This record gives sequence, structure tokens and C-alpha cells, in this order.
Amino acid sequence: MKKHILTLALAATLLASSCKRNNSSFDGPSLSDLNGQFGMLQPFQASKSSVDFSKAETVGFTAKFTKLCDWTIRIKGSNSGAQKFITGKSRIIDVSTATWNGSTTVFPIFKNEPCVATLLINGVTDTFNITVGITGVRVPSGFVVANFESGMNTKWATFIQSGGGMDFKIHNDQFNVEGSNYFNMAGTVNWDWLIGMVDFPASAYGKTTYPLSTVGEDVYFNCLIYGKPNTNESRILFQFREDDNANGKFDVASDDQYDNELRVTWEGWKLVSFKYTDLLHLVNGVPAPNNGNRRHNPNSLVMVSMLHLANPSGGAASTKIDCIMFTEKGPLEL
Amino acid sequence: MKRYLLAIAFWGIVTANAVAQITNTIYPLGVYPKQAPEKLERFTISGYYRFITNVRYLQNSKDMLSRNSYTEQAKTPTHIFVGDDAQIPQLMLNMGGSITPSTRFSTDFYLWTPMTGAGQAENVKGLNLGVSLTGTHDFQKGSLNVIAGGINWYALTPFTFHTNPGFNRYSIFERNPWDPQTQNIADRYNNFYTNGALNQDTRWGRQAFQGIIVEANDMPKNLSGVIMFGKTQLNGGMAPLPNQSYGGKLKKTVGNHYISLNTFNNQSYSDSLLTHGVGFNMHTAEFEIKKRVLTIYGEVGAGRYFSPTLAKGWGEAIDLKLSFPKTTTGIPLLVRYYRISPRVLNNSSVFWNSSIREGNVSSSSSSDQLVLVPFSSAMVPVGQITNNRTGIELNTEFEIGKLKTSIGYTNANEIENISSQLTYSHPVNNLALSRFWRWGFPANVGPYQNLTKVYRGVFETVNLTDGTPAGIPLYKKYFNNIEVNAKYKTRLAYRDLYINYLGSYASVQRKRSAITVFTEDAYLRTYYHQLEAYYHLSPKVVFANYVGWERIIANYNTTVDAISRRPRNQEGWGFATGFDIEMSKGAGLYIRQRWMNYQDRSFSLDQYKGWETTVEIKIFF
Amino acid sequence: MQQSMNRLYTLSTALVATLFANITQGQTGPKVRFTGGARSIISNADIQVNDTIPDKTTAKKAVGGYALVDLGFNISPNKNTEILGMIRINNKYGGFYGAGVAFDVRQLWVKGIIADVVRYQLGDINLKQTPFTLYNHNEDQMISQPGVFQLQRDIVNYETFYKSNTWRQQGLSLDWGLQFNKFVKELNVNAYLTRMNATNFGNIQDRLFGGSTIDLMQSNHLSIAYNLAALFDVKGTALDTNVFSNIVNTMTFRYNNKIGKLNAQLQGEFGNSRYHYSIDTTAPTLTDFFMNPTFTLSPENKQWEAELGYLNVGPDFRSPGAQSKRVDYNAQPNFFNRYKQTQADRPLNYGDIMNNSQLYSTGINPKLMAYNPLINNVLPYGQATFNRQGLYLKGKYNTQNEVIQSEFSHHQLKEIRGQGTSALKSFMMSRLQLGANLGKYLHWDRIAKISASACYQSTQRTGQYAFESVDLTSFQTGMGAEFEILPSMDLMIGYTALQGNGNDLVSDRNGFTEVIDFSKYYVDLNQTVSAAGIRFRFGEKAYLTALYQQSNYQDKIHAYNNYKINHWMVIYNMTF
Repeated sequence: MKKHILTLALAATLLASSCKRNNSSFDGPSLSDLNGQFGMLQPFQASKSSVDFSKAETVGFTAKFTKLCDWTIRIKGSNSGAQKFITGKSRIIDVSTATWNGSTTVFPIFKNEPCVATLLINGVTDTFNITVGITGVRVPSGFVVANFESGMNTKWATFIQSGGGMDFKIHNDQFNVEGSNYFNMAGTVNWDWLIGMVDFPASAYGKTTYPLSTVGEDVYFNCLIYGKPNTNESRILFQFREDDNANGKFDVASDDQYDNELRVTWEGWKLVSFKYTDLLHLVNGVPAPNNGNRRHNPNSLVMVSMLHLANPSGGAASTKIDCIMFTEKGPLEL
Repeated sequence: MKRYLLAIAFWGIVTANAVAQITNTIYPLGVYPKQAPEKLERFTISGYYRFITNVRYLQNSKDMLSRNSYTEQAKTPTHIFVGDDAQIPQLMLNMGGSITPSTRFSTDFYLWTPMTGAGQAENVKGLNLGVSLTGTHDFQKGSLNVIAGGINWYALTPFTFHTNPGFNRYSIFERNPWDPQTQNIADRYNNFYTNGALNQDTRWGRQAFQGIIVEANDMPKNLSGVIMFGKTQLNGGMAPLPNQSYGGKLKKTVGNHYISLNTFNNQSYSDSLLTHGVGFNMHTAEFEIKKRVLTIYGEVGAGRYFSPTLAKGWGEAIDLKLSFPKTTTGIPLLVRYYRISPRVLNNSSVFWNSSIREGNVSSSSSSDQLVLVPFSSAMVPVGQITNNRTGIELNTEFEIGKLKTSIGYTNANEIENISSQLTYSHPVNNLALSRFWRWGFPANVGPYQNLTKVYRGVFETVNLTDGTPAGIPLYKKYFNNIEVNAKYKTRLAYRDLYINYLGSYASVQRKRSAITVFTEDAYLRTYYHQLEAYYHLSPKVVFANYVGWERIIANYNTTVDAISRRPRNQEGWGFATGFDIEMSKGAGLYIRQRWMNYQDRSFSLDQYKGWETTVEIKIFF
Repeated sequence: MQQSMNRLYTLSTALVATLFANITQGQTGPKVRFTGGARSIISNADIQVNDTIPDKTTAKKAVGGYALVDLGFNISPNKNTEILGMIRINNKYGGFYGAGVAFDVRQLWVKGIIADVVRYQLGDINLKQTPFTLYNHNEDQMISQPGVFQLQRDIVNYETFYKSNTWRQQGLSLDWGLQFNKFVKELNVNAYLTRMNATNFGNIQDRLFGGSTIDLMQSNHLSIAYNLAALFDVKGTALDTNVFSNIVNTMTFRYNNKIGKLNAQLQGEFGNSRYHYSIDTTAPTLTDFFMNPTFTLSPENKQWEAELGYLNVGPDFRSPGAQSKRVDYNAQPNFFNRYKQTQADRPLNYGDIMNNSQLYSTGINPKLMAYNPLINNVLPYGQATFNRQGLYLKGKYNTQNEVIQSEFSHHQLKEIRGQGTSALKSFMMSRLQLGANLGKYLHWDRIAKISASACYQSTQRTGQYAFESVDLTSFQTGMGAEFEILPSMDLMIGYTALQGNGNDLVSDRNGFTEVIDFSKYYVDLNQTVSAAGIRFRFGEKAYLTALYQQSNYQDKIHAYNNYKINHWMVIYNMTF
């Protein structure tokens, strides 16, 4: 009997000793994080007091708390009113979680100006502020189709209906969003959807085709569009015409055209971006087959057209546009 | 090495008579249970197969069927139907098992193929009466019977829970779906002649009840009792609304006599929040005193209907019968007096409701009726009673040689003038008429929307015009009915011949009359004559024949036709012939061919002429 | 040597002998026999609520019921094979002339013997292994129920195929064994494979649950066994190549001997588990082990028994076959599921758990099911509850004539790993059950029994901060009696109560059983169920009973949730 018990005990001991457990101290989130008192272990700071985004500089923020927190850093331009929001949930804020590259969340875009960075903690009434100065604004990279800073390109073709109150001009006023100018498109046309349009041929930039990547997946079209409240809903139709047969021009019967119709349902400025390969060919707003090689070839793009449309029975329509540009490897970040 | 390992692994000699090792393992191995389950003591399957098909030709189907969902049928004069829209299926299986000699479960199961050509897609299966559990437990003094589960046919007392069995004055030419096979093909007619009754199935005189019934029998002091709790057809339904019926009986037997206290009650709700509760209560005492010179039977009690909108209180219900044997009065005589207040309602009893319309209305939006009996003032056969009525009945039967005669007489009147409508039936082509509108029990069909279909029959409603402009009747109605049923058996060419005559002469009028009123003083006069002859042609064949004539005449105090400006003047004929053929033991073939001709000389659209052929095969097992 | 080796290859028919007792019943009697059950229930209930707003939206009364028959065709086409096909015909209460009728297939299996050696059963099978591999624990019934409640429990157990702590599965089971006459006595093997779910050919694989037990009986004193229970997806049966597996390996041992005049038994189980997804990088791989040795003493006459055990189940130990629960606490009650003017969900009460079979699972669940901390916070997933270690003591005592029967147990456990904190919860549970057979004591020939039981549980944690503190206690009691007032007619009464108050932080887990958050659980609740009934016994296999039951739910923190349900039932039950 003793032998049996000894054997069993030995086997059990061997087995038990060979087993190892996960040695974490507890399961799940810390109760202290969930329920403990909030305290700052390290004050809210910026890595620099002034930053030149035009030289691709960035500014990082740091802080440390006693518990896990939902936090938000709001950076506001003192002159422009532009805002940038960085959010997270952690006990520590560092450059890996909170770095500002000069981009904007709420337009207009930042200018060279002092900015106030405020740290807000969910459930905590106290806020923490520091000042960061912008000495150089962020320069977005990409191919600029139109930013209207130098006025209207003479090689662009425009068509404006002869409606009432037509205003298709470059403006410089309190609605500026990027740079100094933007393009206004407004008017009342009660017989046709088209209010006005602008063609941007590649030749306007000294090119036979737009200098874009051959990989449609990498190419993005971006623009800033302003939605004006209490007006007839504006629609902006972008048409992208390719020269698939490389005969130097767009042939409707043998080349591809891609379109995107945006309905301006928001108020204020909004950055709109879409991937080139997400575009479809539309006929009267309905997807239809193309007549070219039916592949997205941004490098064959010869013409970009922008049409401002509105329902003729809806009265006056008004919108604004700025910063029309192509980017690659991702949408535009302003 | 291999050898040693093998030796270690398989060392030993296997024995053939080993004990069961599984129970010696640390935890029992294998599947469960470890004991074989018990098996049923006895299991039986019985039932029947019934094929029935009906071909009908109706010359003027357009008029009869031109409304509601029957307009498609109205387009063609000829219709073929396979099956029975009285909802009796083709194959009925009754399965049951006994767990102990006194404890049993049963269920039925039916299959039905409508034979429309669609095949499996339209075949139907289901239960008819459902799953039923019964059990009996004997105590030292007495026994307990329990019936629970599906539909069980049960009866308490006539005023509480019962159907009217009648006086067996009815035509037996058309077969009922539940009619059994008899040992001899002519037994049906012979039994009717001899006993005055057919073999009936379990539902005769009973109502359908679903729930639990507990009977205590042979208790001390000669007591017995019943408690029942559940639902009737009229407050059924599977919604969780607490619509319930409950009742019971406590009976004491003293020698040949007995007295019982009985109750039956219903509580239903017509809304899901249970704020609108409706129902009825019925409490009675039933007794029977048997003496040598007469038997006194009675049921006396009170009942009421209640609802948030209608609560008229309690009313009386009285039914007294004096039964004199032949030795006392020369011929057997049954004298009956009854009185049922208009405030009493119980649609599960022998009397029809003719005074509380709310009690007959379905809470659903179905166009079918909830209660399959005529509402309003009904002209009823002798033996059938309604509420809001009082009257006397006399019934007797006697034999003169081979002629057996049964006569019934009723003289009744309404207690309160509530309804300005009368209803009556068309017995001559009743079954064929009910088949005009198949499926469901629609009300207000026919060319003048005054026909209502009930189970295997139709009744017609006529409006009286001698009331107030608002339709409230000014006069009470008085009812008279005389029924004669004569049966004669003889032999023709060495074979039995049975001849039955059934006559009914009824009237309803404003004043009391000793006998049926045969003049225009009556709102309505109905005369029905039905003559049948059954000839036992060969040991396995009966030749059946039927002639029926009905005459219904209304006076000018009833609705007149808009064109003819005359009241009802109806005459209907029915001629039918057929064969009952015994195909083999337990299997019968029944063929009926009927020619119909009916016309209302005042209401021109109310007419039909045509024929109907019915073939039925019934096989019991 | 060669001859003995040849003989060695002859396999035992020992198992066959057992099965013959079952199978050949069919051979000497008719080939087709019938088995099953029948039942009729009518129930009426009404609810009273404690709501200051007049309720105009919910009904306060409900009726329900059904009549059903389960008819099983037991077919023995030959002496080695048995087939059972059972259909259910269910007729809802109130359905006339075929309305409310449902037909179902209740079960179907075939069993038999292959080559006179291997026993098999295929189809619907009831399986059990060990408390840590495959075991249908009943940890939501902490105390034994008086007979008046047990009637309803029996119906629930019948509906859900709960018997002998087995789980109903669909698959195949095989048994066979060997006998030896030297060194070892017997070797018994069981293997099973069942299907949990079928593939949808997209993102759900075919999932199987299989296992095996190899039990080696060295002698009448010593047995050891290896057990495997594996839940796994079959790769390639769906487009998604991410396969799940949860493997549990255990060893069980049993050693019997005598200490003086007492029988002593050292028994135990230890093993490990591995929970793993093959590709999903967000899914954890959980591995852990457990051990559960016990030492039992009892006299020859088995009049009493004492057991001391040690339990150590790791926090990452996962065993779906042993940790699946019976009651689904997220399910809806089957009547008055919404109540009050606000149509709030009615919380389940003790009475619902007693009689509503729809709250119960019929198979094992690969995911951790929710539990009710008031009913069982100590071992909510049975003996295999993870993250527990400690000692327990169990005992039984019956008087010589079995007039008095008693059982008790005491568990003193604590967590192995904290939840949200390094402080550990400690658990205590004490149970006592008493039964007295007055009929036997007074030498009556009628039934007269009384019973009482109680279970007290406590969960405590004290941490560095107040928000870590946990103090939850619950107390369950039950008592009842059965008296045969007339031959075969019993009066049954019973009362059971569940009281709990305190607080706990209940772990919220994601689909991978990881703790992601904690829910604050505050309770001051009192639930009682009282019942009385009359039962007529029609022999041993049938009875009719009329019951009245009142369930009371009193929430002292949220008094507006309080309610009371009065429930009348008539049950006529038969088994055959």
C-alpha cells in the first residue's frame, strides 16, 4: 500500500512541478485604472515651443497619469481658429501616441501663428494648456490642380450659365481656408442643372497627361469644399478623362472617363478625398460601362473637369472650392 | 524488445465469462443510461379510411355563389370535390397505449390528400382530437377517473354541458362521416326501425372539451362527482389569454333516484390587457325520481351572462319532464315543460342562444361564425329548446302492427320580444346546400345574403316588418310544431324493406295557438315531408331511396321581395337514390345520387336546380 | 510463447455480456416495442407588480399548457442491434381540431455490438467522463429540492435529457475492454466523437467534440485512467482557415485500502488544458493545469462517509465539456417576460429556474456562459471552475434504518489570480441537507417524509483601495414534506428561498474568455417560492398533481422591480 501511495504522490508532484502558469499578477484591466483617483504624475509638455512644419518638423506631447484615461489634446490657432485634435486612451502620453505634423482637423488650415495646446481628460474638470508657435505651415505634397493662389490659369476653360446672381470668381475674405484665395461658385439657374464648370486640361500644366502614378490604387483626388447652409443643395461633378489610346486627346468612343458626383450636404469647409480606383463611369448619375480599356490609368489622365450642379427648381445654389490636388500613397492631410 | 513490450501490453488470458467491468472503472464509461428503459405494456392502432368524392351540377350557380370568396365557383355549373369539408379526413389513426391496465394515453393522427393534382405539396397531416391521457385509480371506497389533454367528448347535464340528442326524428338517407360500419349492411336501417336510433359515435349528446376532467365514482354515501377545467371550442385558442371554462357536478344516488348539483362557467377576455371580460355562469340542480307509474326528471337552475357592456343579471332555467310508461297511459308519453330566461346563456348546453347577440360573436375578425347554431328566434325541431322561450312538449310513440310511429308536439312562446328575425332550415336538401359554400362557416351567403352555413346544414334568416321603425319587435312570437316519424318494415320478394316517413309542420305567429297555424296569420309556416325506402337487395347490398318536399310560406309581416313585392313562397324537392355495398368485412361503398329543385316564387334569385353524386368508401380497422 | 500470444489477442467479451442483457431483451420478446412518455399540463398564472405607474400595457394573467406524447419505436432487428426512433406529438392547450399541433423527432439512435467485441452507439447519445473533461454539473441547484418542486424539476430533466450528469450529444461512442490475469486486471476503453455544429461554408468550420478514456484497473485496490476531451474545428471545412481547438488531458487515479476497519480511498484527477486559435493573432492561447485529489473514509456498512479534498484549478483552465452550464441566465422567461407599464424585461426568479425547460441548454457550449452570482459564486462552472484553489470537506451520514439521511459539505477556496487587482477573492460555501423518513420511523406503510436543506456562500476581497473590496453573501434554504393522506394520494408542501446581499465585481469577458472589464454587482434581494399540491399516483409510472406555487421577488435596492407570481398547475405525467 505504501508503495502505491508513494508512486501516486511522486507522479502527482512531477506532473505539478512540470506545469507552469501564466504569471501575470491579475486578469483584465486594473481596477485602479477603472475606479482609482486621477492624478498627474508628469505634467503636460510639448517637445518644442515653436515648430516649422514647412521643413517637415513635428512637435510631440508628453504626460503621465495615475490611471488609464481617455484623453484629448486640442491644438487651436490663435489667429486662424484652426483646430487639431489628437485622442487616445492610456496612462502615458508620448511621441508614439501624440505627435502633431501640422495637419488640421477643423478648418481653416493653420497659419504661422501661436497655438494653444490643451489637454482634456474624460471625467476630469481640470485642463492643462501649453503654447506652441508655428513658424512654417505644413506644405502638402502632391500635384496641385488648382489652389487659386495665382488666380485663374488662362489655359483652364470655364463655362458659366447666364443665370441670376452668377459668381464664379476667386475670392479672398473671411472664408479663406488654405492660402489666401479660394474659388466661389454661385448662381441661380432655373432651366438647367449646370450652374458652371471649369476644365483643367493637363496641357495647362505643360504636360500631355497628368504626371501621376500608373498605379491607380496609389492615387487620390482631394479638394476642400465649402457647404453653405440654407441654399439649394450643390452637387459637384468631377470628370476624369483618360487618353487610353495615346492619341493625344480624349475620344468618348474609345477612351475611359471616370466620374464622381459629390452632394454638398455639410456646412463649412470639408476636405474630400477619394481613391482614383474607386471612381466609376457615370451616365446621368448611373454607373455605366466605359468605352476605353476599362482600367484606371491616372497616368493617362488628360482632363479633369469640375461641374457645379443644382436642381433648377431649388433656387440659388452656392459653394466654394479650394486646394484641388492629387496625392499619392494616401489622401491629402492638411 | 518488441516482444517484451507486446507481452506486457497483452499479457493474460482472456476469459469469456467476465463480469461487467464498466462499473468498476474510476468513473463509469460509455453511454447512458446503463439500464434499458421500460417498455409499454400494450399499444394499439385502429382507425378508418374514408374516401369521399362529390360531383355537383348546379344550373344557376351564378346566383347562389356570386358573392364573397365564392365568385370563382359561381362561374361554372359543375364542381368536383374530393374530400369532406366537414373536416373529416381520409385516413384516421387512433393510437393508444396502456402503461398499466388503468392508465392509458392515446392520440389520433390523420392524413388527407385533397387529390387536386398538386401531389405532396397539398397533402395534409395533423391531429383531430389530439393527445389524451386517462387514468383510473381505485380507492378503498370509490375510484378516481382522470381525463386530460386533447379534445374529449363529455357531458355533464343538459343545462350545463351537453348537446341535444333529439328524438331521433331525422332522415338517415345521407350518411354522417362518423357513421360506423355495421356487421350487416342493413343493420343501420334495422336498428333505426327497431330501436329508433342509429349507432352513434362517442360524441353523440356530448360537447368537445379540452383540459382536465376528474371523476370520482362510487364514493361513500352514494356520492359521485366531476370537476372539469379547461376550454371549450367556443373559448379555445392558444393565446395566453386566460379564457377558461370550469364546472362540476356532485351527485347523490338514492335507490333508483338521484339528485345532483351542477355548475358550468366560462370566463373569457376579448382584449389582450384583460380589461374586457365576458362570460357566463350556470348553476342547476338535476334530479330524477323513478316510480312505477311515472318518472320525473328535472333540471332547475339559474344562469347569467356578463360583460362590461351587458350585465342583465340572473335568469331562471327550468326543464321538467314527466315520462309515463305504456302501463300507465296506454302508450308511452313524455310531457315536458321548459322555461329559459333571455338572461341565461350557455352555448355549451342543449339550448340555443337567441337573445344575447354579443355571446355569439367572435372576438376575431374572421367572417366565420363563432357559434354554429342560428341566433334570433329559431324554428326548432321538437326537443330542441332555446333561451328566451317557454313551452310544453308532448312526445309519444306507438306501434300498430309493423308500423312504428313517433309523434312530437311543441307549443312555445318567447318570454320577451327581443328579436325581429326568424330562422328556419331547409332539411330536404340540407347537406347538399351546405356544400355550396365549402370551407368555414360563412354567414349571410346566398343570392339575398340570408343563408348561414352551420355544420352539415344551412339555415335561413327572415326579417319581420311589424316592429318599430328601429326594428324592435312589438309582439312576442308563438311557436308550434308537430313532428311525425313513421317507420314500417316489411318484406318484398323475400327481402327486407324499410319505409320511413318524417313530417314536420311548424308555424310561428303573434298569438298562441293550440296547433300549428296553417293560415297567413303565421309569420312563417314550414312543412317538411321526407319519405325514404331501403330495400335489402342482397346480403351485401341495400338499395336506398329518398323523396323530400318542403314548403315554406311567409306572410306580409316579413320582408318582401323588392320586385315581386311578395313574401317568401318557397318550395323544394329532393329525389335521391343510392346503394350501400359491403365490399368486404369492415369495408363499405356508399353511392348517392340526388336531384334537387328549389324555388322561391317571390324572390326570383333564390332558386337552385341540379344534381349531386356522392361516392364514399369507408374501411374500418 | 506463441500459443499464449495467440490467446492474448483474443479480446474480452466482458462488455458484450453486459450489453447482451440489454440487447437480447429484444430478441426473446417482440421485435418492435414502444417506449416514451406522455404529459398534459395546464397552467394559470397571474402577476402582481410593485409599480407606481398604472400598468396599461401588459396583461396580468396568462394561461398555457400542452398535451404531448413521446412515442419511441424500439426495434431489435437482430440480437446485436437495437434502434430507437422517437417522435413527439405536441398539442398546445386551446388548439382544437388540429390547431397548435407540432410534430418533432425527439431522438434517434442505433446501438449494437461489432464482432462481439466493440459496443457502439450512434446518433443521439448521453455522455459523461470526469468532472474536468465532460460532465453536466448541476451547480445551479445548490440544495436538494423538496418533492413538490422536484416534480417540476423532473419534467425539466426529462425535456433536456439531463440524467446522471450526462450531456446529450450527437455522434458515435465506442466501448471495449480487455481482461488479464497477471499484473493488471482490466483495461477498459471508451472513445467518442460528436458534432457540435456544421459548417456554413464561409466563416464557421465544422466543429467536433471528441474524447477518450483509457481506464486501467491494476487490481481491486488501484486504478488509473487517462482522459482526453477535445473540442476542435475541422480545417478545410470552411473558407476561413482559422481553426479553434480546446484540448483537455487528465489522469485520474483511485486507490482503495483499509485503515483499521474503515475503507479508505485516495482518488483524484489532475490534468491540463490548451485553448488556441490557429491564425487569429488577437486570440490568446490559454494553457493551464489543475489538480483535485481527495481522501475518503467510510465504514463497511456505508453508514457514513467523510471526504477531504484539495482543489487547484488554474485561471486559464478551459474545458467546455465540464464548464458548460445548464441554465442560460440571459434567456427570457416563458411567460410575463415583459411587465409593468414600461414593459421592462422581467428578471428571472427562482420559480422560473424550477419549471422552465427553455432556460436550459441541451448541449455543451464552447463559450463561457453567464452565471448568477447569487445562486453560485463559489463554483459556478462546477468542480472545474477555473481560478480556484483550496480545501473542501464533504460528508454523509445515514442512520442505520435510513430514517435520517444527511449530507454536508464545506468549501474554503480562494482565487489563484486576481481580477483587476492582485488582491484575491476568498470563497466559502457550506451546505447541509437533511431528510427524515417518518413513515419508516413510525412503521407506517404510507409515505411520510420531511426534508430541509441550506447553503450559505460568501465571497470576500479586501484590497488596497475601497473600490477593490467585495463582500457578497447568499443564503439558500429549502424545506418540504410529503404525506400520503390516502392510499396513493400525497399532500406535498415546500418552501425555498434565496437571499443575497452585498457587492461584487463580476468579470466581463470577450469571446476569447479574456477579462475586458468589470461590472459592479450590488444586490439586496430576497426570493421565495412556496408550493403546495396534491398528487395522485397511478402506479409507479404515472401521476396526476394539482399544484399551487407562489414566487416572490423582492429587490430592496430597486423596489420598483418587485413582483409576485401566483401559479396554478395541473400536471398529468406518464413514463413508459
